[in-house]
Amino acid sequence: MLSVEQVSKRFGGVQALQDVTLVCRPGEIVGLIGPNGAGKSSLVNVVTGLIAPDGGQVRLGDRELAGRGPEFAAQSGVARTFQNLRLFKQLSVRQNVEVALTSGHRHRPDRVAGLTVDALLAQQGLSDLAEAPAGVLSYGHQRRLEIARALALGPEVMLLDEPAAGMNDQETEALALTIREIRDERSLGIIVIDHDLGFIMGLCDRITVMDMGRVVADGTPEAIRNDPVVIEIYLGTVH
Amino acid sequence: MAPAQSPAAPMPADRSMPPLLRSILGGLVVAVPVVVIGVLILWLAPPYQVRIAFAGYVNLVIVVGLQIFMGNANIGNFGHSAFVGVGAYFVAILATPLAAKKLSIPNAPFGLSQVVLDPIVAAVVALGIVGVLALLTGFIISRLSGIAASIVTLSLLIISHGVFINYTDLFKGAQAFFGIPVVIGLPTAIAVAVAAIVVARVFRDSQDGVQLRASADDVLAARAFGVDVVKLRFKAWVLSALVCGAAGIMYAYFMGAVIARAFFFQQVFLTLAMLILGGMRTVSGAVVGCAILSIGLEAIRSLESGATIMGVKLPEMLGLSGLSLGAVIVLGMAFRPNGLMGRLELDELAAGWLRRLRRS
Repeated sequence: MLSVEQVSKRFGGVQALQDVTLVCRPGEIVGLIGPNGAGKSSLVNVVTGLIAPDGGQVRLGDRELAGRGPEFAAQSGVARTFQNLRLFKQLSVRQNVEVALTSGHRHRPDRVAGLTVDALLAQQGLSDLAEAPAGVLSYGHQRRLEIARALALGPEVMLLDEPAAGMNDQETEALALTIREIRDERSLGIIVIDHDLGFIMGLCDRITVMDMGRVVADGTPEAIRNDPVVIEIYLGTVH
Repeated sequence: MAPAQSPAAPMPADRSMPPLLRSILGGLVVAVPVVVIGVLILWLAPPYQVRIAFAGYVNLVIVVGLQIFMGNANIGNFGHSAFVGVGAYFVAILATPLAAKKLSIPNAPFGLSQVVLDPIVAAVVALGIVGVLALLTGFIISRLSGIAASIVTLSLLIISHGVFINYTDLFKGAQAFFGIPVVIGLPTAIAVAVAAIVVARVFRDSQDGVQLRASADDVLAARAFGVDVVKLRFKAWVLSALVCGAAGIMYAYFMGAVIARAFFFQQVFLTLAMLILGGMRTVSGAVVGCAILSIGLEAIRSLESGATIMGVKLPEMLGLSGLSLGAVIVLGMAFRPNGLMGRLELDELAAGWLRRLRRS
């Protein structure tokens, strides 16, 4: 289980995160929403080890991740996808997955036991493109490769940063299906950040809402939909 | 730009073969033209051309060494000639006969003016010294990225040159250190070049090599997937230095003399231009760039002194080779930053062509 407890982070005069607490259990899909500047990206960067928090704890099981760097977080079982598709463009599709499979298992070898590049590529429908350089794939294929690469880490928790960005309705629906399948197959905890509220509401078991660096609401999609605070600070600005 | 591979026509790869064997065979395929050209030179060329060819093979080993770090980590390296120089000077110091040493370095510290080692033992010790220096410098360089790392490599070159020039008791200053036993010929150089190519190819294709190339594409994403970028850069730096050191040892044992200015800016830019021209992402790029520029520069040098072509006497064009070298770097960076070879090795390209031919 991933638990973020009382995490704070200040950049100069800006309080990016203030006493943020968040939990993601195995098999749970948690949505993370909030207006621009709410602190979602900062939180993802703290959880994935890219930035060290000023205070608070980030724990995966009994392992403390805060401030120990992205390599440690990855090797402990935290995988992520990037909003702007940071694939290894000059490497082949196969090598993109191989990198994660060979470097991410250090602290949890049991999580990658039995995982193979071929199986991961087949699952994402990328077998025929295995030897193509990642940089020439279509956008949809690149998104799927990102997911295959993240799964190759054998993660316990996966953070998906705006996975539906740039997708049409049909593709978004297929993506939601894929995310649920991954959760069911591997009993993963999944945190999804997206601006597409329809996508988030339909996909997630629970939603955490952030504003001005704080968690302002946390609950089921139904509860969030009807939360007056959320409507005022977030949904209200949409309608 | 590298020729784009259509996703509809992906590169084939023989996955039935063990990866290490595949890499060794791939390296040997890349080395075939290196051996063929060398054998033709040995067979047909007069001695002065053999000497020129030998210098070409030394450069090839340096460029392959440079590719190991620069090509896989994507960090500009201007310091590799320091390791070539250290390799060359330490076999000179350790293997030169006493009579010559009395003239060259009579006041050498640590009793080195009285020490003469067997050339093979001296080569091993020199390589060991290169390795130790690589470990020490790699500790810093592997923690840096981009311009900062490149500036440090440049500083390394300046420091090494300063030491060679000013520590006259050990390196004989700006004068040539002569009297080194001449124990190898072109066949040894060809063999060392083939070995360097195979080593570089095995590293490139290895788990470490692929992970390091991933970090060259996107260091943040690589770290987010557990790649220990610092450790891999360190490994590549040390391996690269050892190969460059081997080139220096070859140089000293063939030429019989070394001089500090041979391991300075001119060599750095020549070998960099070769790698940029061929393409730093592949070992094949190092080989192709070195072959084209070695042959091209020889042709240009003959023009420099005022050649006669079809009865027309051309004027002297001194400095043309330097100008051409600069042009290769500038034009290569501007129009083909991935070099002639792009992202695929020669054997991978050939396998792709064969597959497409069979399909059609």
